[in-house]
Amino acid sequence: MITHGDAEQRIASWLQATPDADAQRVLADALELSRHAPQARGLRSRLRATTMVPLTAAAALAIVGVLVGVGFPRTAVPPVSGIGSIRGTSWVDSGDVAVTVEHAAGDNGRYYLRAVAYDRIEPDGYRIGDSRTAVRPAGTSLLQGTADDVGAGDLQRVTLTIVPGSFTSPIVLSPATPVLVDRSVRLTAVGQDGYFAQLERDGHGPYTVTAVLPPVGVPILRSPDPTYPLDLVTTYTALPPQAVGPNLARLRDEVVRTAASGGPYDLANRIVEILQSPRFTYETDLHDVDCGSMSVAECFATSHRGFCVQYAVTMAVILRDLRIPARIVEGFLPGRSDTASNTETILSRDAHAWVEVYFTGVGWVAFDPTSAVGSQSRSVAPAPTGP
Amino acid sequence: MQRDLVEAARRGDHEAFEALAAAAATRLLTAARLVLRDPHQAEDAVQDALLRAWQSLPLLRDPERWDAWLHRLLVRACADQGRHRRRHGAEVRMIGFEPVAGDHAGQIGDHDQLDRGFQRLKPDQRAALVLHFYLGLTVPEVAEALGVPVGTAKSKIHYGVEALRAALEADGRTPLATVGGVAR
Repeated sequence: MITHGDAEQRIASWLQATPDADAQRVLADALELSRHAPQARGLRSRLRATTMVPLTAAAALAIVGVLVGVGFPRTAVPPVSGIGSIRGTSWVDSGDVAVTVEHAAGDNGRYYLRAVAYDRIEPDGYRIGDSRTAVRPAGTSLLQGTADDVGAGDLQRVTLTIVPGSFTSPIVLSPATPVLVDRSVRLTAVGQDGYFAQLERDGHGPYTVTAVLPPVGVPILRSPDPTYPLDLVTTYTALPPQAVGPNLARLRDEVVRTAASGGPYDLANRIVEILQSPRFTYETDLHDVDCGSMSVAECFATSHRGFCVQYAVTMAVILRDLRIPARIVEGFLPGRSDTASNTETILSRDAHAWVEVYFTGVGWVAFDPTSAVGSQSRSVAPAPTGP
Repeated sequence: MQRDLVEAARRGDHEAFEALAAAAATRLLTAARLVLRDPHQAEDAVQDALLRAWQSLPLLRDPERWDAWLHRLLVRACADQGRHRRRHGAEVRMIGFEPVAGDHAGQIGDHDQLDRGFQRLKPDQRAALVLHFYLGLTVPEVAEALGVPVGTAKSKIHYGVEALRAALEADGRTPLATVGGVAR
């Protein structure tokens, strides 16, 4: 017979024997995020002047990191190094090798590697909304039965082996649309029809992923009258009420007025052109940008200063406001190639955010609205043929 | 000393906040792992709790309440993680329990029973037990951290202990039940 008191004693002894968890990493991540996060309005107005950090993009970045536990855009929060985390894996603005990519013989392509696709846009960031998961055994079709299954008929396939470096997250990196991974994975999907959000593999070791690339030069991207599935529209055109303020509305109207057509491809291309114009400045130090309670996109349309998160959010919000399905994705930019070994080295600081736009009959096509940094083009949209 | 740090952090002194967070991080993470039983979610919960602590510090009226307030933020963050897990299906990897026997031989036998019993508890019951028996909070402090009346906190602890006591007793009977009429 075990008395209640005996049980209490044994429970207490058992719990107190718990080894201390190593909190260094999570502490470092939390402190880094907090350095750039605004404090609430205090009890004394004097405090507001001295401690309030305006809702800058940097602050929004921190909020995103907390909401989704994922992310982080290149060069993120200035002026110090450091950034958010991918489920506890530090993603630091440094020259650390995040992953090494082994290309198949003859594959000279360099691809944006997507980690996560976000469906929910909030005033101060973005996140994965309500979702469900499914396990896919190694080597089985990843997207079968999901709305992102565009078929692999005429699409170009590419197979890469990803060797983790400092990026040890179980999240699978892939160019465009992954269709096979050589190990068991867990697919997270959103929406009633099941749209891709992320893939997580078992273990943390190297893996081989096969993906299909969107067609390049296809006139269908200029389809003037797209019809979208209802679930797609519901999931990927939703915006919070305060997302579009007066400055973003002006920017949106300029896009519509000056685009080559009212079709989604020309509108998306026009947004990229405008955001990459000298009117917008790629900057990582945004601490002096005071946008009050504006949304991230309205803040960017007002200040014209930001980095990849602001560019991507702004483009996605404008597209959604025009009822064009769009989502924000995070991952890595192409890295540095070693032609002798046909490998590519991707650094932590290559972490990036960009936008995917849905085209009926094609699927998701990536656009990168972030202003060129250095000489590297940020556009990943395919060039259409035809008129 | 802690009060000074809290007051400084309330005024926006990030170094003071770093000292407070560093002093609390290990116990918060260990507690979160016990409650959530998933290391990744526990890290997310602690990160969330600390970030919220920094952001909301100017609203903390009494610096003496820092520990209780931080525990409450952690409980909320764990609850958020729990909801996230339920929304995302049952694919969350469960970790084995980590408490070890130490010098008490009797605990070796308790480990598996308590582990299994603990896993079957509701998250708020686990939280109540962790707050009370691991962090050493009094029942009123547990109530504050959970955001429930004292009587409710007491009840959660009581029924949590009873469930584990039953688990220990059931396990104690298992060998006999298993033997049954087979081995004589």
